[in-house]
Amino acid sequence: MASQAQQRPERTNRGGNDDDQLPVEVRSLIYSFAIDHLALRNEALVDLRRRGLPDDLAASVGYRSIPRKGTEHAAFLAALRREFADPLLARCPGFRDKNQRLTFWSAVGDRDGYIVPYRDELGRVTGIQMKVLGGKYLTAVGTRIKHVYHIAGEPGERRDLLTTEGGLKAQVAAFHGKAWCLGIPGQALQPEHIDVISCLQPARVIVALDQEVNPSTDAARERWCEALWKAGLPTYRATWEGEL
Amino acid sequence: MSGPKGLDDLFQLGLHPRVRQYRATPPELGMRRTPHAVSAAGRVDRGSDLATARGKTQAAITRMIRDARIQRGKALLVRSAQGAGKSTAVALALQQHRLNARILVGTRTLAQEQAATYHHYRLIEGRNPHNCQRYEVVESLGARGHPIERLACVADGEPLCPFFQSCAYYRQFAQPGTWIAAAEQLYNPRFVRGGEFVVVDDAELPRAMVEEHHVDLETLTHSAEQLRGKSRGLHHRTSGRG
Repeated sequence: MASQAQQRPERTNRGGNDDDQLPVEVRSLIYSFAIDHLALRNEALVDLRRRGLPDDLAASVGYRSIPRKGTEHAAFLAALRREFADPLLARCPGFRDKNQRLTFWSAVGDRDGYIVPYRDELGRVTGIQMKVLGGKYLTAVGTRIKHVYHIAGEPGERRDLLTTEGGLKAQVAAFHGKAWCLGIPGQALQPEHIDVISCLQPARVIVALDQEVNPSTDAARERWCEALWKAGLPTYRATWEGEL
Repeated sequence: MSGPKGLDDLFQLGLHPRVRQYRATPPELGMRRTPHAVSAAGRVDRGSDLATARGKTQAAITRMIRDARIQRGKALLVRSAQGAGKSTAVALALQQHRLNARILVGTRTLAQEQAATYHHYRLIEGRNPHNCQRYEVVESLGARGHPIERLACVADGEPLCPFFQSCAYYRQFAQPGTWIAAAEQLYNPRFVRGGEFVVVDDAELPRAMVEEHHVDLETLTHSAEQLRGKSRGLHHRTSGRG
């Protein structure tokens, strides 16, 4: 095992410690604290069940409803500020608005949603998105996509790593397909993601983006495959009769 | 027709995707290469001890493989004595720099030996009775110089062989990583495609490049007579007497 570890390629950037962004360890600490102080309401659970995620898995991965505006939101922010200094929180994506004020998403009236954590191979939370119920995904302000990815499932004997768009999709696919999946927020696969994939040493990297009539998804699939192949990874693409 | 859009939907239906290897064919692959003279003469070593030779060989090979992606189109000729560690240096450098290489050696046995020694190599074999279920057909076509794949296996993506989907010969080209084979595979597009680096490791290139045909004296005499007859006929036709 020791010799295997020695042969592992060195990662150039371990989770985003190369610039003004907080190190992944600190980001994870803050996000984990936030997750511990949020609840998972029925509306979010219903949506996660619809996507195919059982309640216990949803809770353990860290999907949580955003706090309701008012006392719940205020209490949540207060708890965070008691634990972490304001300048530190302000540097963590998701806790500041475009005017640099300390804040967090909140549920107002019918507008509700839940946070989707992106956990790395060590279980650290690299970043978060918010799924608006009945709507789209929002990425936390200040997020550097290159530092955010979600690993779900186990490598197994085959060590096939399926790569797809979205942390929740990767999680659901890993659960139902008993697969090893990597999801990134959006279709912009970055060199840092490829760096992570190289370090995971998969036997095959399988690009499994949505099968849909969408030229931008087709272009992204080609882009991902080429970038992975050029990085020297054993690259494969997954196909199926999808949404036509 | 509408099926599952995402991987998550697919797995929830209990289905699995088909997986195909991605191969980007470098545009340089089909380009014509013309040799040209260079002004500077190559370096000639006047001999050294084994350790020095091994060190130099390893350094040159490692450097070439390390920089392979940034100096495409370049070749390195390594001419050192047997035992200088060329094959070992290639194996170690390929493992370290994770390149999908195509290695050609003199014989299939040598390829098998290297594949057994270096576990990151994948052995590729030509068609034989073990990996082709219609080998008698293939053998017969090959003996007559016909294109085997196009006539017996697959044409324009349409399988011609009833065993094509489970063909062990074609399955070996789906293996990831570095492939090793006998020199003849250098002229097999399926072997070269997807490779980032070609290593010709003492491969007997003339054997693969030059086709030999043996003709006995009787056949040769008969052919010469036939040709003479053709020549006379042609002369008659052109002079208006035939």
